[in-house]
Amino acid sequence: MRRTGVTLGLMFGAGVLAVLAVLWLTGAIDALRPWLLEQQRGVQNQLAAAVRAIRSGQPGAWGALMVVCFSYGVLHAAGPGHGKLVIGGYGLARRVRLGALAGIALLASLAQAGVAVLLVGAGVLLLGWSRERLLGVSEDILAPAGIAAIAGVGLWLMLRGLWRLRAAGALPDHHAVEHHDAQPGAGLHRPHGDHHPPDHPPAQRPAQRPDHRPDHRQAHRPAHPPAHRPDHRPDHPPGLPPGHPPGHSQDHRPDQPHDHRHDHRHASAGHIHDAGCAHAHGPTLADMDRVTGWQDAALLIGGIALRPCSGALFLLILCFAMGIGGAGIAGTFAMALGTGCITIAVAGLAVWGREGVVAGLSAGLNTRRMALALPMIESVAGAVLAALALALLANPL
Amino acid sequence: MAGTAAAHPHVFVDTGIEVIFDAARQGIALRVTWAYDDLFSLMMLQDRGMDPDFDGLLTPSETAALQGFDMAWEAGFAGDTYALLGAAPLDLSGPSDWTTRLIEGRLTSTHLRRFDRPVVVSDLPLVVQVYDPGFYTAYTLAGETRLTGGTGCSAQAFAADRAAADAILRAAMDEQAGSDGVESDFPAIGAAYAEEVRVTCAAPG
Repeated sequence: MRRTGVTLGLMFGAGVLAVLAVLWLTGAIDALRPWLLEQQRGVQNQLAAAVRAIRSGQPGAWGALMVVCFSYGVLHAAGPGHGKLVIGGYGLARRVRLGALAGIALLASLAQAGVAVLLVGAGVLLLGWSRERLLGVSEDILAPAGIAAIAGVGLWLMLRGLWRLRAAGALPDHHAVEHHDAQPGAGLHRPHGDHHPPDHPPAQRPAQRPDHRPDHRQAHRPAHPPAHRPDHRPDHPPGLPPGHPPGHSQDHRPDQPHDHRHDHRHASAGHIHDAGCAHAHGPTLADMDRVTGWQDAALLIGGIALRPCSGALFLLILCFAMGIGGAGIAGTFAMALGTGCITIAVAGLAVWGREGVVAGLSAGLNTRRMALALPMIESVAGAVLAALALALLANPL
Repeated sequence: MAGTAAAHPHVFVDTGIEVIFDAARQGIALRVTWAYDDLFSLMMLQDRGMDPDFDGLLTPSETAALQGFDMAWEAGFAGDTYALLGAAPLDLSGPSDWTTRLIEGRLTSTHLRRFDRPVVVSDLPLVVQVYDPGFYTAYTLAGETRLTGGTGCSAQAFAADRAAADAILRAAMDEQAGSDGVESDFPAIGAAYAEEVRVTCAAPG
C-alpha cells in the first residue's frame, strides 16, 4: 500500500511537470506576464529608492535594499532563463539527489553574483569601462561562453545516454533480471546507501523510498560480493564539489543499471580482453562516472554563472558611481539568493518529475526495457538541452 | 538602449502616444512620450554626474545637456514604436523634435515620428504598437492617447493581455485575409505582447 502511495506521489510529480510544460509551451503561462511585469516594475522603482536612501544615510536603508534585491532576484528568475533550463534539464536527464542539484543551483546563483562583482570591479574600477562596454563584454563574451558550456552539458548528457543505451542494448536479458529483479521502482539501487546513512536522511531524498531500502540491501548485497567494491569505490572521488554530498554518485542510480552489469559482465566473462574485447580499452562507464560528478557540477555552475544578470550589473555600476559599492555588492548577492530560490524550486520539480516518470515507466515496462528507457531519457533530455543552448547561441533570447 | 536581447526587461517605460492629424484629418505624425523608470533615470543621471543631491531638480544646463540623450539610435533600431493601417505596416521617419525633462525623478522624453505620407483613418484603424522585440525594455501605455486635430476620431488602448492580444491578432489576420497583404511581412505576429492603440475615425460628415 505504502509503495503504491509513494509511486502515485511520484507520478503526480510527473503530472505536475507535464502540466507546467504544457502551460509553458502553449503560452498559457503568459497570463501571468502582465502581473509579473508590474511586480518587476515596482521592484525596479523601489531599488532606485533604496539606493538613494542608502546614499543619503537613512536608517534601515540597508535592510530595505536587501529585501528589495532579494525580491528582484525572485521576480527576475520567474521568467524564462538559462539557469532554470540548465538545472531543470539536468535534473530530468539524470537521477540526481535533490540536495546536490539544489546545492549546485544555489552555488551557481552565488557564483553568478561573484562574476558580476568581479566584472564590474575590474571593468569599472580598474579599466574605466563605460556601462555599455561592460554590458557588451557580458553579452558578447561571457553569455556565449556560458551558453556554450550549457550546450556542452547537453551534449555530454546525450553522449553518455547513448553510450549507456548501447551498453544496455548489448546486454543479455538474464543480467537485467538477475540484478534488477521484481523491484519496479527502477531498483533504487544505492549500494552505498548503507555505508553512509548520515548522508542520506530520507528527507533529503524524496526520490528515495525508505520502504524499499531493506529490500535492496538484501537484494543487492549478495549480488555485490566484496570483490566488486573496488569497482564502485572510485565513483566517490574525493574531489566532489561542495554541492555534492559524498554519497552523490550518479552511477548507482536505477538509470544506470548497466553499470553493474558492465562490471558483472567483466566478471562473468572472466575479463577476456585478449579475446577481442576491444571496447574495454576505451573509457568504461565507471571511468566516465568517476569524473562525472565534479565535471558536471563545474559545467552547470559555470554555464549559469558566466552570464551575469544585467540588473546586478546595473546595481553595481550605479552603487560604485554613487560611492556605496559595498551596498551594491551585498545587494547583488541578495539578488543571487532570490534567483537561487527559484532555480532550487526548479531543481525540486525536475527531480520530482523525473522520479514520477521513472515510477510510471517502471510500472509498465519490464526491467530490460527500463534499462533502455532510462538512458534514452538522459540522451533525449541532453539533446534538447544542447539544442536549446545552441539555438540561444545562434539567436539570443 | 538598442535591442540588447534579454529574457526579462531591464528598463520600464511608460509610453504616451499622440496622433497628429492635418487639416484634412489625415494622420501625419506620432509624438511618442517615454517616461523611464526610477532606476534607469537614476543611472542616466549618475552617469552624467547630474542631480548630485537627489532632489529631483536639474539645473537648466543639466536639462540642456540631457536633450536627445535617448535619440542617438543605432542603425537598425526601429524605435520600438510601430504603426499599421489595419494590418499593413506604415513607414515612420526617424525621430525629430525631441525633448527631455526630469519629472518627479523620472527622465521623460518625447520625440516625433512622421508618417511617410498622410494616413487616411476610417473604420480601418490606425494601430500604434509599442514594444521592444528584444524585450530589453518593457513599454506600457500610460495615460490617454491624444488625438490632435482628429475630430470625430477615437482611440482605444489594448494592454499587453494575452487574450486581447490573441483577439487582436485574429482580427488582424482576418483583415489581412481580406486584403492582399503578404503574411511574412506582418510584424504584429512578433508583437503578441505589444501594447497598442487603435484609432478609428468616423466618416467625415
